[in-house]
This record gives sequence, C-alpha cells and structure tokens, in this order.
Amino acid sequence: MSTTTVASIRASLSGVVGNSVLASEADLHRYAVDGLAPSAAVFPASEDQLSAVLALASREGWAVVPRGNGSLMALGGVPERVDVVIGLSILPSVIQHAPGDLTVTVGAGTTLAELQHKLAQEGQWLPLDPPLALRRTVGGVLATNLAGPLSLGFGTARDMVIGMKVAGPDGVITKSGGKVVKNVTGFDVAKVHLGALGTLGVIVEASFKVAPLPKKDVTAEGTFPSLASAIAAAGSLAFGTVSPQAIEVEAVKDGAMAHVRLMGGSASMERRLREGASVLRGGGAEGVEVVDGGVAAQAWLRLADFGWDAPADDGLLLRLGCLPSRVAEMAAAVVEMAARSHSAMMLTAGPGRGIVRCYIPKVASQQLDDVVAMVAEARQLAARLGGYALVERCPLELKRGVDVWGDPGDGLHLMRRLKQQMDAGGNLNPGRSVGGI
Amino acid sequence: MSSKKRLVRDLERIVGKGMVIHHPDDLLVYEYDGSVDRGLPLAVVFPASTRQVSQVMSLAYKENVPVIPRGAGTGLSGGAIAPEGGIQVALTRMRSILEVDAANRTATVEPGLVNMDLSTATARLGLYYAPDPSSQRACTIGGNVAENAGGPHCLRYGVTTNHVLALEVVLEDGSVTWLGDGYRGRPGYDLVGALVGSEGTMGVVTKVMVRLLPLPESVRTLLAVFPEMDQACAAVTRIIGRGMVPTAIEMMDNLAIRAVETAMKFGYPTDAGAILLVEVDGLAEEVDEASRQMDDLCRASGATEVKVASDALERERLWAGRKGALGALGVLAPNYYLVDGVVPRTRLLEVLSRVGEISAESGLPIANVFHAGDGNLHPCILFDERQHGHLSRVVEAGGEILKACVAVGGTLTGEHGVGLEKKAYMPLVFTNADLEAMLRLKRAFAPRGLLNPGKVFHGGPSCGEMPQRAAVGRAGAGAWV
Repeated sequence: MSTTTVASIRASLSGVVGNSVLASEADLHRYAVDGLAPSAAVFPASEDQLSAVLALASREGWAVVPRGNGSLMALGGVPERVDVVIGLSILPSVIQHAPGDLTVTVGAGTTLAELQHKLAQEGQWLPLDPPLALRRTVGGVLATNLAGPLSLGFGTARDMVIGMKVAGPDGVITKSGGKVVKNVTGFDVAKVHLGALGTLGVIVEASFKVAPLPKKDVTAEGTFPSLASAIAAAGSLAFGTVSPQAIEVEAVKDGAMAHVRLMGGSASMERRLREGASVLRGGGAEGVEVVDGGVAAQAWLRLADFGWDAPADDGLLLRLGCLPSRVAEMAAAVVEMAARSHSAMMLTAGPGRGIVRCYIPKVASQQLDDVVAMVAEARQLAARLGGYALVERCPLELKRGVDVWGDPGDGLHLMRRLKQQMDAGGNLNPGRSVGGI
Repeated sequence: MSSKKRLVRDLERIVGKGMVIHHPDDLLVYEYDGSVDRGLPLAVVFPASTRQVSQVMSLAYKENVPVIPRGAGTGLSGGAIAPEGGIQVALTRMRSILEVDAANRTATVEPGLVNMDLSTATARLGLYYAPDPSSQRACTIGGNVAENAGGPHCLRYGVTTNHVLALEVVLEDGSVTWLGDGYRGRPGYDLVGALVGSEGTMGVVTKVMVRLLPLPESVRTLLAVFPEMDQACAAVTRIIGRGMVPTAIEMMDNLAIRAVETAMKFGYPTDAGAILLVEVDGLAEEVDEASRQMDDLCRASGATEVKVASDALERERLWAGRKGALGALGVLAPNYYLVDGVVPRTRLLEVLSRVGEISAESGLPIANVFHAGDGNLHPCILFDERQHGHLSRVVEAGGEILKACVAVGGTLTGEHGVGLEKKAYMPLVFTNADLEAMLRLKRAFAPRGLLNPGKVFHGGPSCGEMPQRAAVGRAGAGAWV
C-alpha cells in the first residue's frame, strides 16, 4: 500500500472516529493478514463508531477485515485486498446474564474466558471449546466456528446462539432471533454468520442458551497399542450408556491414547466410568487412568488447541470431516499419507464427531511440493469416504497454492448469491471464505 | 383454452391425471390449514418425486405463478395457505424413509413422512427423532422443517433446527440442490440453518437428513397439583435454578384443568390453580435422583399432590390430559384463538397475570396450556364467533398479549411461525432494517419471491396495521397445541 493511500485513509478515518482509536502507522505490520498490511487498523470503542467506520469504508470501497484478538487470523483464504482492519476487542464488554432463564447476551469483543468466568459465578457455562478459547473474543469464536471436542456432547455454536446483532457492510446494525430460548419469529439470519469469517457482516453481539455446570467432570485415559484399536474402542462408547461429552484419540509413540470425558450428575458417574473403562480394556487398552481437575483440564485445552498452540504459521494443520463410522479408515489413510511424504506428524481423531485433525510442524520450503500433494490427496480421500478436508493453518507460501477450504458442496452458487445480497460491494473480508467469496 | 385450463393440463402431464385437484369444490379443503385464514389455490398437485417437484417448479417459474408447499396442513399460522392463489404443492405422497444409518444415527426421509412414523420405525434400533410437536401424529417432517417446529420435549433436546443435518431442496426455478451433507462442520455458509424455519419461502424441501437420538434408558413423569399459579411458576424457577434441565415442563391453568376434567374425567381437582407436568429421562440413577428432587421442589413450592409415573402406560395417562387440553376447551366455548408468545422464563408469572387482566378487560375467558420450561405461552382466548363483536375483541386481546410478551423481552412466536397470522406484529420486535436483512436471505434463495408469497413479511399499503381477522380455531378433537 502506498504512503499516500495510508495517509489519506488514515485522515478520513480520523475525521470520523478521531485518532485515539487508530493504530499508529508503525504498528500496522502487526495487523497484516497473510502478509498484507492494512492501510489502517481501527478499534471502535462503541457500536456507533463501528457503524461509522463501516459506512465510510463502504462509501470509499475499502476492503474491511474484522478482527477479534487476532488469534485465528491465519484461517481462511489469502485476502484479495486488505485496506482497513477493524479490531473489535475494545468494544465495551457488556455481559447480560439471566441465570434463571439460562441465557446470556454478550458483546462480540468480550473474551470467551471472561464470559465463562461470569457464567461460572452462577454455576453455568457455555459448552464451547474452540481452539485457543482462553484468549479469544466471542465474535472471533463465532466468525471462525471451529468446533472443539465438546461438540460431541453439546453440539456446536449453531445449537447455542439464540440471537445475534450484526453490522452490515454499510454500518447498519440489524438483529435476528432474541433473548428467549425458543423462537421462530423471523428468519434465523444468525446461522449464516457462523463460520462466515465476517464476509457477510460483522458480528456485534450474540445471545446464547447456556447450560448448568456439570456436577462431575472426569476423564478416562486409555493407553492403546494402536490407533485403530483406540478409535474403535473409544468410538463404540459414543452412543451408548457411557455417552461421553468428548472423545479424542491422540496418536502417541507406539500407539494411541484415548481421552474420554464424562460430564454430568454424580448419581450415574460411577456406572458410566466403570462401563467406559471396561469397554476400553475390552477393546485392547493396556491401561486406563482416571483424571480430573487441573490435569484433565490441561489435557483438554491441549486437545482443543491442537495445531494452533504453535506460535508460528509454519506448520500444516488439516481438519478432515467424515461420518463417525469412517473415522478409523480416515485416520489410517492420513497416517499412511504422512509416512509416504516422510513428514513428522501429530494426529488426533474424534470418532464420535467424525473429525480427524493432523498437524505437520515446520513445513520446510523444500517440502512444499510434498505437502501440496498431500493436501490434494487428503481431498481425494475425503471425496472417496464422503467428507471434507479443510486446511486450518499453513505457511503462506503453501496457502497461495491451495484452496484452503476445499469443496463447499452443492450449495456454492447459493452462497455466492447470499454474498451478493448481503455485501454487494464485496468489501467484507474479500477472498477469505469458501470458493474465494 | 383458458390459462388455468392450460396450467392444469401441463401439471397433469407432470404428475398424472388424478394427481391434480382443480375443481373449485374440491379445492375448498385446501383453502385453509390449522389456522383459519383462507386462500383458494388455483390447483393442488401431488408430486411423487423430486423430479416431479422440480418440473412443477420449473413450470410455475416459467408461468410466473406462486407456489405454496404444503405438508399435512396442521400449521397454526397460515403457512400452507394460498392467499394469492397459485399452485399448492402437497408433499404427502412423498413419505418414504429412504435410509436409516444406525451407526451414524441419522435418517434420510421424504418431506411428507409423518413425524411420529419416523420414531416408530426407528424404535427397533433403539433410536428416535426428538422434536415432537403436539401434532406429531399428523404433521410432516417437511412441515416441521419449514416452521422449525418445537414441541414439549424441546426443552432439553432442542427444536427442529438442532436435528436437521442436510436437505435436498428444489429452488424457485426448479433446480435441485443439496444443502449440507451430514458431515458436521463442512466449511461454507450454514444454508441448512438458514432454510429451516423459512416457512416455505426459500425452497421446497424434497429430502431431509435428520439426527436420531438413542432411546433413553429410563423416563419418569411427574404431575404436580398447585393451589395457586404463582406456586407452580415458583417450582419451575426452582427446578431450573437447581441446574436441572428436564426434558419437558408443561403447565395448565385452572380454566384448562376444568375443561380437561369436564371433558375427560381424570380426577383433577377443579379448584387447583395450576398443574405442572415434568418429565425427566436419561440413565436410571439420574432419573431416580432428579425425580426425587423435583418431587421435593414441587412440594416445597406448595404442591398439594405429586403423582409419579415410570412405565409407559402410566406416563401416557399423566400426559393424556395435557395432550387433550386444547380439544377439551371445546366444552367451554365453540371457538378459540391460540397465541404462541414467548417470554424469558423468569417473567412467566408476571405475563400470566397480565394475561389474566387482559381476559378481565376484554370479558373473554383465556385458558393457558403451555411449555413453561422454555417460557413458551399458549394462551387460548375462548369465544363464540356467532356472537356479534366477539371477533374484534379477540383480535385485540391477542395483540395485547403479544405486546405484553415483547414488553418483558419476549417475542411473538415460539413454534407456530409467523405466516399470515403474525406478520403485522413483526414491527413490534424488528426494525425495518432487521426485516430487510431477513429479506436479503430470502432473496438469495428465491429472487423472484414466487415461493409462498405474502408470508412472514408485512408488505403493502396497510403496513403497520394490526390484523383485522384472527386465526380462529374450532375447538374439539383433532386440535393440538
């Protein structure tokens, strides 16, 4: 971006919201998306300021990139243009919790950690465990919508959001849904903003159904001699009496570790644990250990953050989705693929929820071709097994050569029409969503 | 040949001669649904396949004729009515269960399948379909998808949108598209989520892939009798406050209790202020513990009697009064007008008192039979449509109730949909900009607006006026809420 553009965009923004919420020019590189530094980074301190910034951007035709705390900016396609980054982290953090109604309404800039802390004071929580949950904003979590292990037991954000306020590309703020748990008044517009990466609007506020905190939360960890036996045994628990709230099978040296998380009342916990442990042993577990408290919490954070906890974007993080019944097959194929490309790989599989994630740390430049081939192979594999392969994170050089989203399915033409309806000017995060939307 | 004759002939070429209804006398049955708005379609077609639906839609698109999808016609907001004429596409012939995948707990069905038939068919695999609108013995899965139907047991398991994984949809121009595919988390906009609850305005659903749940190990139902309504409301607050989420919490007020007792003789005390019906399910130990606690909480809140049932037959008996309540109201008055407002559950008592005031002010009896656990009220305004002037008072009282719901942070409809009935009230909840954002979503799917026109959005010169006629039901057997 030329110096003149930077100066003029900055001057226009400053005229609308003042200088105090603009990042200094020297800091702009910190807000770069896939290497593209914006001409300005603005942090609206109110919804009015956000609207004013968007209205100005829409008049000027600037490409706008919404940003929470910036933790998952690596997700998505390389942007077509980046003019103004809008940081939402300093929007007033208002949390309206109605414990008796089991609902909460929260500003998009509030961190999930802050929200959980507030809910916990009343014995409630929002059962969402996306990557890097502790440091991210609610708006960012919804806009990226990467489900974590708990989605097995509690569903995803789409099952919890009951209302949403969104700023359109012209700055007009609209709402859908409401603050009650059952509502069919008007269309469920909030759904299309989940995972849309801000390409249809900027999430300003969301209302959620929340849940009572479980009385018990324990994890059984089974050590298995092979990935296949761990997935089979842990997966068989998913739909039975044990019904874990999360199951993740992690490939470890010489085998696998199955993490099985049981949350719920104390009355049935003993039976669930006993049955769970016995199924794991019967399925070949060499040992089963029960953990809870901080130890278990740390393990689950690590599993949720998988691949995102490494600081640099120099690894390849793949998420493959398939039917739960085919997770073992998918995981085996991924292991074989990585072995062929001689890449050191970490893998975790969620047999109940139909997800396999694999992470190749530090992809070197000379490995790029191998890894591009591997992504292509993963796509073929997904197509064969029925499913999808999403590149969550990868080095920029690689990103320029692959479509990170893969095939969005039959509805792409409708998605394009939706984008056209909701952001006709194409200024909201252009290029970062599926099919280059 | 007249244009109608030509259209009928073309439709008959697609679906076969016996599968198009077009004589005015035959069409009368399709003039209404579970509400009593009226609208006479040009013709009703009964396609047997996605291909036929697609051909019908292409024809309608070419001729610029509206299309109104229709399931069982049990809807309560006028969703299946043809207020602007057009072709009604009745999907009741497409009622097969195409696939049950027990390993992945999903089923793929045609839209005309009756809700209950799915759970009946999958019971032998230990699975069921959770959303259970009270009309589940008659209503179709396709209609449930259009309205995002709820039901008594949605408190714990969620409504239709939480259970639909993928849809095959015929769009306005006749093209066929799959939305979603059952692999949760596939990248891209959540078009399935956008389409569920769009009241037939965005596409005609021709296949539905749903999530099935395992049948619970144990189920228990409690029926608690309270002298006063506020005690029953306090019990609801206490149950939720204890961190318990039962599968259902249903309430009946005194007027409903009297109607049920007169019509069905269950031995309900007719001087009771309210009856609460609570159901819990899950693992045996949890159910034992929860039902004990709920029994205690109900008694501590003032319940004079608590009955507990665990076997299916006994549970059915406890539910029978609740399920038959709307029909039973027929003993009190020939007509009812059913309201579907939602309030935050902590405001239930306040709004119910306001409903009582509205009843007194209007001189119309109002019975309450509703989903207390999620704050979904169903005030039934009782009247006699033959009496002059009643109808306008009924409409006014209904409007007042909705305003009272909105005033405490609630909304217009929890599960019946907006349809024709409530579109004039939409400005109570949404700004023009909010509604415009919803219209954009609709236009992405159906740019010409030929699908179910005149629903949900209140266009035209009378914008902002309250409805002049009520959706008035005849109480009696076959009425559900």
